[in-house]
Amino acid sequence: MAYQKFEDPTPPLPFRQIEKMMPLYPALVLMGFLLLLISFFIGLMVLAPANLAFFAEAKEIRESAAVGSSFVNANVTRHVFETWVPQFKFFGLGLMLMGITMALGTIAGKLRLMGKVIASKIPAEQRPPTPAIPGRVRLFQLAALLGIMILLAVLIIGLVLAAGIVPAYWNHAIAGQLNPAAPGSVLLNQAGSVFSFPFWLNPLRLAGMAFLFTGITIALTVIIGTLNMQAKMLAEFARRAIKPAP
Amino acid sequence: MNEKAPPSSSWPLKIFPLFSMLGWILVSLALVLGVFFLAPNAAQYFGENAKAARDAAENGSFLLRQLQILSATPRWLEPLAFTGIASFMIGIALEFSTIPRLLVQRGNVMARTFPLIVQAERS
Amino acid sequence: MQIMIGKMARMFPMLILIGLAIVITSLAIGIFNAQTAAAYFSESKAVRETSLLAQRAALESTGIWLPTFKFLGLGLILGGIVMALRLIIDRLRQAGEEVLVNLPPEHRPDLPQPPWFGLLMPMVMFIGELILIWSFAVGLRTAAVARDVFANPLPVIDSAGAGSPLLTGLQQIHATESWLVPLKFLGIGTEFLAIIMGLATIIFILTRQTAVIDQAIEIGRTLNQTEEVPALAEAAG
Repeated sequence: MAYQKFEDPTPPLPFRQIEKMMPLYPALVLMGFLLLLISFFIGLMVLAPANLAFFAEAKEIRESAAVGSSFVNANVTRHVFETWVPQFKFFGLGLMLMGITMALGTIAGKLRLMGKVIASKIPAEQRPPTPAIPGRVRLFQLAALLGIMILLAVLIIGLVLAAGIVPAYWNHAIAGQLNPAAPGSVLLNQAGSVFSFPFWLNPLRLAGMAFLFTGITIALTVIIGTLNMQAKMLAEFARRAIKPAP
Repeated sequence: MNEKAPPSSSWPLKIFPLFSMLGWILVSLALVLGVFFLAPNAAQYFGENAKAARDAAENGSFLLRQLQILSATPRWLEPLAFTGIASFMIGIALEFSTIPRLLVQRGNVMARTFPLIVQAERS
Repeated sequence: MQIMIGKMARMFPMLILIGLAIVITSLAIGIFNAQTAAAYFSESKAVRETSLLAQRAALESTGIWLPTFKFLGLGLILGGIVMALRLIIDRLRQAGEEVLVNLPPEHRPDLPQPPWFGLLMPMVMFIGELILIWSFAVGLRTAAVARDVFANPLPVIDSAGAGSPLLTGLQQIHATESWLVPLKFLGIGTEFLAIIMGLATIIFILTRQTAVIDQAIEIGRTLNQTEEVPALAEAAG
């Protein structure tokens, strides 16, 4: 690298790993976009056919179908996929937002490097001191990391639900087993979990997104601060160079 | 050299934190209502009452009130949470909108300083 | 073409304002829809499923088209950000040109041309907007189907047999929603892709500009030692 001598000292963990990953932002963004594409094709090729199969007959027929029938299987498929695919989709969006945060961090780094290269051309006695890395850099890295961790946790919860309680509940005849379930029964307890999880899981993933957006907001303040500071430092140098101090 | 007002004092930079804060308030409201109000209500409504009892609920009954809450609240709470996400985006857009002006100003300063840096070697 | 896009980019606040207006309108419609839901679900199952048909049709159809409208608003805000990025790229290039004006034309090092992903950015943003507009159109069409289906009492819908218009309509609603929901997210993802292309262009230009300015200072110093450069001498007083 041409400007290796201008590099900042290596930060402590976990920021060292984050900074190493920063130039990998295109890979993260492409991976996120790929997850969104996969979600779309799952919708088109798995969920839509499952819905068509389930709603192919009158309610009485589809709800009285026994376990193992095409109706119950289609019902299990559509509920299982609707449990994990939305979390997968949000994780994809999260990866893209994290990529944007990292790209902004890279821009801040490039601006800092440009400032150092220009400052190195100024004689030492007139050279403005290099400002320290702003504390907000660590803050936006932490916010992005926290956001993606929340979305990963939401995805894992979605996968656990989709592999466990959701198929366990829906793999029953609706009219013969699910509807008559009495209070205190296993089925009705499962129903409580199956119907309530979207109410807390959906806002939790929005909180993950909020952390990522906060990361982007703070990263932009770092860029704006760097641009402002560099303009001020150059103006100050020019003022001194034109009117040298007595 | 620097006749224009510094961009750091421009109005978008003053108000963008308000949009970020609004975003956090709306998303937190959705999270708190979802976790502490809607999810326990849904767990109770679907997990403690047989379908026959839920279907037979009469006007003014507790069960019907719960169903009303579970059906009506997400219809305004979800758009509200998305308004929060939009609010974050507006804050970010405001920040981005100040950068072109900053670049123009920095470019001017750079252009005026360039000859001085070149000459600085001689001195 | 690129000059026209550059001029259009200055209108980015308008895109953001339209997007914000759509999101706020969605919130207002959502609040109104919630009141309809509260009124509908305050009645017993027997009453609401046989008598309150208009409310049910409104709830079902709004639930389909409103999210696509909301996402269109978010997409327009992101489109505004992409346009702001285009403006930033133009200003960044202009700033580089302004610095090099100090050197005689024959000695100026070449400034970097925008890379392919920078030129493609407005196109990707436009594709994202098209996906979101198409999602909204499909949402409206599916909502019209839902309005027709749910204008019937629920017992009639439930008893509709295979091949009947009612059951076909119900199938269409559920099947379309299966891919319409991820399609909206794909639209938003495409906007994010355009944003990252803009940021990557900025990184590309900054990297090259650092080297160009470094080189330009050295050229300026060499010229200063061998000949008088009017721009440098005048600026340095």
